[in-house]
Amino acid sequence: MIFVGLVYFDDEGNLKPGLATEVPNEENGRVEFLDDDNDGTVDRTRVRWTIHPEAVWQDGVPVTSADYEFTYRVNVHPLIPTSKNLAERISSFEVIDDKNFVIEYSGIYAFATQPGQTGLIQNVEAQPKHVWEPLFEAAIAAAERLDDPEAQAEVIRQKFIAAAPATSELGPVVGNGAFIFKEWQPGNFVRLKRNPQFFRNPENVADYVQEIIIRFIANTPTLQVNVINGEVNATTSPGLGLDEGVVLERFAEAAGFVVAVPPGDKWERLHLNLFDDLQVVEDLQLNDPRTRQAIAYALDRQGLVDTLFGGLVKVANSFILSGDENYNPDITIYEYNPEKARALLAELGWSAGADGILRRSSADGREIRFDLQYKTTAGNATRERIQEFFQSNLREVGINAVIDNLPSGSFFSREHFRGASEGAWTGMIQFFSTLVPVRNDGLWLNSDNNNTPTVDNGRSGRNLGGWNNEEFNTLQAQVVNTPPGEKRQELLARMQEIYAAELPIIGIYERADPYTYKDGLLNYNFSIFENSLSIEPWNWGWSQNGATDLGQ
Amino acid sequence: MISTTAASTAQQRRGLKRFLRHRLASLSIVVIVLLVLSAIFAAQLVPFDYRQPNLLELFLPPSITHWFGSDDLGRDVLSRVLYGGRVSLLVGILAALVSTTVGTALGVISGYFGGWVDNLIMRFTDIMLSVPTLPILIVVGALLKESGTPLAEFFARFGAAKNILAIISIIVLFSWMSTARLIRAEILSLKERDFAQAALALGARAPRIMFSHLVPNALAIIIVQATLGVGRAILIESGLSFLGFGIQSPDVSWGTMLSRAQQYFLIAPWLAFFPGLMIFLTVLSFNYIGDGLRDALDPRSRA
Repeated sequence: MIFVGLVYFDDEGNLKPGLATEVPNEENGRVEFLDDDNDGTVDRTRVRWTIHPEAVWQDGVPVTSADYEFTYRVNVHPLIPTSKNLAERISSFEVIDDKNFVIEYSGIYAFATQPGQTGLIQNVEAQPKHVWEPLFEAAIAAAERLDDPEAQAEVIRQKFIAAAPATSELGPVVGNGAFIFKEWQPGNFVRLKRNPQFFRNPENVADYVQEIIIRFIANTPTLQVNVINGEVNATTSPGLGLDEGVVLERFAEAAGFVVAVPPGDKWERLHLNLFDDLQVVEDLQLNDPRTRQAIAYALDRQGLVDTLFGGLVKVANSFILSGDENYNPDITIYEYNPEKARALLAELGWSAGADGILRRSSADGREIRFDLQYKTTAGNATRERIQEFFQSNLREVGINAVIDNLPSGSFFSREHFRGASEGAWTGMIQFFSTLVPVRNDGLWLNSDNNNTPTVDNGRSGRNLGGWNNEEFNTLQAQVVNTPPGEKRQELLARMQEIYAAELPIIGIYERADPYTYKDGLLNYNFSIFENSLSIEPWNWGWSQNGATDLGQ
Repeated sequence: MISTTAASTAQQRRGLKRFLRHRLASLSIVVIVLLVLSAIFAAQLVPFDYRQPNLLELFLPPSITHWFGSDDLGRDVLSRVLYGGRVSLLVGILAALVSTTVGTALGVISGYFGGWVDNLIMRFTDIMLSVPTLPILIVVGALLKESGTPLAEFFARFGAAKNILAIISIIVLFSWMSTARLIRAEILSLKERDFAQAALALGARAPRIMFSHLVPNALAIIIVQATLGVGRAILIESGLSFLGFGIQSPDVSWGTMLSRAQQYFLIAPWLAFFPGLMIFLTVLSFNYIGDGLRDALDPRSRA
């Protein structure tokens, strides 16, 4: 709201120009994949940006290439404590003139035009050089006079980072977006006022929202009551959980507000432990795809989505968002089918005991009961609700799901979360993360051994269950070096086929967080692809005040 | 010997009469007996499988079919309340009994001996009172869950009952202190009374004075503490599930039902009402029974 990026995602995931004149792509010649030595691989990715001629900082100074170059310089400075991943990809930053600059990335970088990719801290936009450079130079000079890294960090913090004019006491934030920061009462509210000079303001800007007060309500029932009685005009996403949104929907019509759900960008899912040198995993044959398929057939995911979540979300069948252009609609879908699940399990040697729970004898003559450990974060009502539902689904096919939840701190601790190889969890765990590869190039579903957390590699990597598939690994290596387009789509399509056949992870649903707004509030939109508060806040307006509905 | 027995039988009869004269206490006994019986015979009484979700019947209000309505997974609330009573009553009554016993023992010893014994026990009590419960619960919970720790191995011995035992132990760990303090204060004053001094002068040993003379006189406080403890234990249990080491599905307790119901209070208040009503009835009944017992047993009220 206060800042606008060069580009931003709309609610469908399309890039739109923010402060830039247009979105760079290969067609308009702004993105080039260069093969310097003609060996058939891309050596450099080159992106040319043009800043909109009317873009100005809120204090009236024009936004120029120098501001971007300055922000990049700050971010790569070794004394500034930021993640350097993105900056390290950048091989050069070239200012052409006041409004044009070029960024080059080493190798291929398919996500170079996405928001927050200008060598900046992820999701932090360019800052005004004329405001910050004096502070930055002074802080660096002071820090360089010291030897102790801790003292240096403290100086940087005091003179630069914490000197951020972020509160009304210390002076206004100089942004470049549709709203000007006015006031912040910590823990209470933030007040923003319309920036009448913003070049993307709608015509007759006076008819649109002029002031925004952002309140922080930590208690969900309180928030719900505030929505119902009209105390708040709108809520953000994320903010309310899906369950809470479903509850609010029942009051929406009578109380005059709308509950909207953006498409999900995360997937709630079940990771299974596939390390079959663990006795339990071997006993339950979790490393046999048929076991995983049987579990998938046993779970009534469609029923869950349709009834418990009021059809507001979709079942997650792939590791790619179902609305994404790379989604492969032809992969195997595991619809609820307990008969098929039972048949697969019978094929694997299981038969029901007197208590209805499956049993089989191991090669060494032990009797094994199908007790499947099922863990998630304790105290999360939505998750526990899903868990109880699945527990009864699994019981129908003779699997005894043993719920063993942990507080989220313990659940996500390295020793537990990434400890499947040592049996920290032995059955399945449920949590969510972002679907790929919508927003970044970190294809976490890497089944490569380097990405599998074990004691030997210090438990790093995201292949939690230890899945390994050679073809998938090869494709994965290819896909990260292929620019967006048909070729990349083909590779991802094949990867999804393998995933769906092997099912190392069982997707539950494409998770989305609902938001609400009062009837009459127009153009109030969220894009799940953006981390900022909302997209195009400059178009927010009330119909009763004469604002135009842009039909988004 | 014979005459003593006769006297004590007569005393007991008088006590029973006094108890029965307390109408609310008698009624409460009936309520608790009914609750306990319904929990024991839950399997025979329940109209539906308490674990079975029914997606076509989410959030049904109370009706002829579902007397207490249905919950967020379409399960019958009445069936769940009946089964939930098993855990809640067991945890509530046992935890209250054990924590009152522990608190009483420590309080009596502390108050009777005084000096360094008193100091040691009371400072330990102060520490336990001032320790923030939540972080400790998280640590204890982690120790219980982590396989291989002595604590986990200890509880693992109890097999299926280990969860309930762990819950009761944790509740006791955090709820004996107020009893210990109150009893200590009472004993401090009681031990100066004539009857205690007389016992001492007659050469009675410390354990006899403490447990035959002082404790019966402090019975009123002990019983009130125990009855209050039942409700507290039932509620603490629901908080434990929140941290992941209380009752886990498919098991159910009134506390877990109540904490889950918060989320749906706007659309399905009955989800909170019925388990809440059960906790309320249990706690209230135990309080009245406590009242009645105090009247019946307090030696000072034997007119």
